[in-house]
Amino acid sequence: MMTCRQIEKELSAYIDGELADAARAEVRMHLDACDRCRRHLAQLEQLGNGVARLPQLAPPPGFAADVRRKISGNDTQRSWMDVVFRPVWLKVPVEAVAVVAVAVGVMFLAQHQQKRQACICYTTANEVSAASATLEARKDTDALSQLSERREVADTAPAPSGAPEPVAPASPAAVKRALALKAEPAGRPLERGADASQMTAGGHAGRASGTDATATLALVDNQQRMLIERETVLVAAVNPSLAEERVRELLNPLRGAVVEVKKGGPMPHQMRVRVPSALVAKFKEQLAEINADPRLRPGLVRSRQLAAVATDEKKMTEKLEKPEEEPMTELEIQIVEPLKP
Amino acid sequence: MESVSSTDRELVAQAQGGDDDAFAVLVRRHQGRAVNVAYQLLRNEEDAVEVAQDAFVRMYRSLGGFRGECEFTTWLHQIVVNLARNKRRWWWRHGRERTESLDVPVESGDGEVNRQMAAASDPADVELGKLEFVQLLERRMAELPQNLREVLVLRNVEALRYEEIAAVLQCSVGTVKSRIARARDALRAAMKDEWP
Repeated sequence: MMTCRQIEKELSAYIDGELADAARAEVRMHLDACDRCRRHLAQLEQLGNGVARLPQLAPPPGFAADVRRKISGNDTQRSWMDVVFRPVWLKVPVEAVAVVAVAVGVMFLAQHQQKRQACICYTTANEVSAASATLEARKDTDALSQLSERREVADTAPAPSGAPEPVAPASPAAVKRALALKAEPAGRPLERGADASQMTAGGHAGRASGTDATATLALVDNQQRMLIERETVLVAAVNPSLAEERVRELLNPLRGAVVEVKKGGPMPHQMRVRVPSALVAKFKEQLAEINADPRLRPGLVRSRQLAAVATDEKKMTEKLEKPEEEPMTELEIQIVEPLKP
Repeated sequence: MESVSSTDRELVAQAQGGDDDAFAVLVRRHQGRAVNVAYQLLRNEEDAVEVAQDAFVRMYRSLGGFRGECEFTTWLHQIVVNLARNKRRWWWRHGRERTESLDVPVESGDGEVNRQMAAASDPADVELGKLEFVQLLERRMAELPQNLREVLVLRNVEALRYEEIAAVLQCSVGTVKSRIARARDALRAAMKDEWP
């Protein structure tokens, strides 16, 4: 004999006529004797009738025509898509190949990007030569004499031949000119050359000496290496301000300096610091010690993008007049929250 | 030329052979069912019509793969239910809840009017008490989880048997039985103030 609780579970199927004969007979027998279950049944029936009477929606006029239009409107695309994707046996392999192809493409681009980044300095060196050639073409005696003087000093190093050399002799104005050439659209080389020579004559004529040229050379070399070695380093810290203070403390004995600090807003707390290239490894080791999260080891997380490097080239021209004493490497430190376990 | 009296299977076979008019007959024959099921699941006129049209477009494009293992209507229900689920997900992702109720007035050029529905009810049912009951039921239905609403619509609106519902939802008959029972219990509990 079934209880009311068991019967209640069967009532829904009972009113839908989905019970087997034996179960149906048992429910009916129970209902004959139980007012409570009969009320329950009546409520379920009322609900079922109510759902069947809910407001309905009829198709709008022109429904079939719209379907036909949608079908014919996309028919070309359909046939192409069908050829590629409809057979199930072909669908999975095609998609797998597509995924692999995309992955290989991304890897290739990443490698290519790194190579291009490394080549930036060579490009700059070549453009320096191009700039001096333009100056010679203009026969601007003042600028040309400076450039020649500097070349003589610089040419004690092996001259670039065919394959690009990492370092090329150049005056600050020539470098500036080279970068300006890169930024400007082609078509006005002579006028630009004249501008460059005027800038050189006005800005650097009084400082044209062998020592100055060597310093400039070192600077170019230094700046180029800086571009290549520039990295982003992650440091995990619960208190970003305290971490920033610790980073500053680390920089002092290493002859490093803070270039820029960005904090606030949606971006993580960022510091741009400059450290002597020879001491970068030591600096990173010390950074690891202030790290609050042992799983996050400071290191090369991602290389700079080319667009960012191009921006740095512009900054480089602005800083040419303040040569630094030793090769420096610039690091961008992002102070982030420790990863949650 | 296919006859309107042809069975669905015959029309599908003709459509598979490239006869677009046969498919048009299928669309006209089942458009009311498709639109209404979509509307019961979404409670939004515009999206219901779009879902129903997209269902037919999808069927047309998949005609080659239809092997007649189920009825045409089962196939149609499957696609409409799936597209309605997708539409709800789209609403959710875009932070929209487009469910609308019969008693919510809508703006028109002439001012506020109630939504025009195809009246399936017997005029005798449009007594005040029953109308209120149905309107309340509609709101409670909209609050049900999607899977419970689906089984109730397929059972009480489309009058499908449990076996057919199981074929549409691609689950077991036991699952359909328990879902329908749960859906009705949930509605019964939600409407408890309405019972004498």
